[in-house]
Amino acid sequence: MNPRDIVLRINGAEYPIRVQPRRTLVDAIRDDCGQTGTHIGCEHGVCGACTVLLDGAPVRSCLMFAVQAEGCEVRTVEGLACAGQLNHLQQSFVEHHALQCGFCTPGFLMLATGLLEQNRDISNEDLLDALSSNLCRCTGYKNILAAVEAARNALAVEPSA
Amino acid sequence: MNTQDPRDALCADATKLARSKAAVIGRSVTRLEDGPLVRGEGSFAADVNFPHQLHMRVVRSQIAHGHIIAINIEEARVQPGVVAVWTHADVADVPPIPFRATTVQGLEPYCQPILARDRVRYVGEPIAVIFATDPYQAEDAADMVRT
Repeated sequence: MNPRDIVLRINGAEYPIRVQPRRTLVDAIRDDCGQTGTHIGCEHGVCGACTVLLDGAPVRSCLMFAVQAEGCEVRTVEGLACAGQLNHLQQSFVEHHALQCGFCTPGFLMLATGLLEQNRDISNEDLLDALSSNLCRCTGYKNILAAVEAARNALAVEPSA
Repeated sequence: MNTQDPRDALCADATKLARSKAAVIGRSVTRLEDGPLVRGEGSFAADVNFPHQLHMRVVRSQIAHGHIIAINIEEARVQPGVVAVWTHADVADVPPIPFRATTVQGLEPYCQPILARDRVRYVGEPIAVIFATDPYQAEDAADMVRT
């Protein structure tokens, strides 16, 4: 199969890359664009470690081809901090001990970012339901849930970004 | 001559220690590593790369229990990008995987070899490994191993 020349737009920056049509989006993000904050866990859509936002929607970048993301706005964990400062969600993860080894964390952060941007008033029940789609193998889920709930509550008292 | 009473120094040290303990005991401590990890700046094994590195793909058992009658690696070995294909015969001198956290003696004969020898005992048990210059080609070749 002939390689394809595409441009990936990640966190506002453009990456012109040449990829095989079968190359997954996550491999392109990590290896072709050098953004290694997005992690590869299971490689078949079960663990959610590779979750990124594609035009605002959380997707598993191991289940997509890079060529499918052309023309889309990809957002990854590297784009969360603002001018070097952790955002509410990142800060909340730190404060609630929502991570231990940190491998699943970028996936959880992007999933939660997508959820909170879609619905800033999302209920605890809906958060639990949505966050249960990602796996963590060290800390457990209670603190992750607490961190996202706290970030949602903090956002609620702020004007919309 | 040092005029300071050494007992004063010990006393000062004890006070300092008590203060530093009071600063951390009984309260949550912010972890130093969290900042980089929530920014995606952690460095995990998969983030480390070297020039001319090879990529390994493991061929695994698809059955829960069975005898290995033959492993045909000839087709896999000639796939593009493939540098080596190993089965148990190639790593027979590597010690088996030891049991962890046990003081029980005599388990050595039951340790799992790093690649299955004669028999597989669970779905996913490693049977062979492929080394290739490209991970996608390693995966292609893994599909060519016949058992």
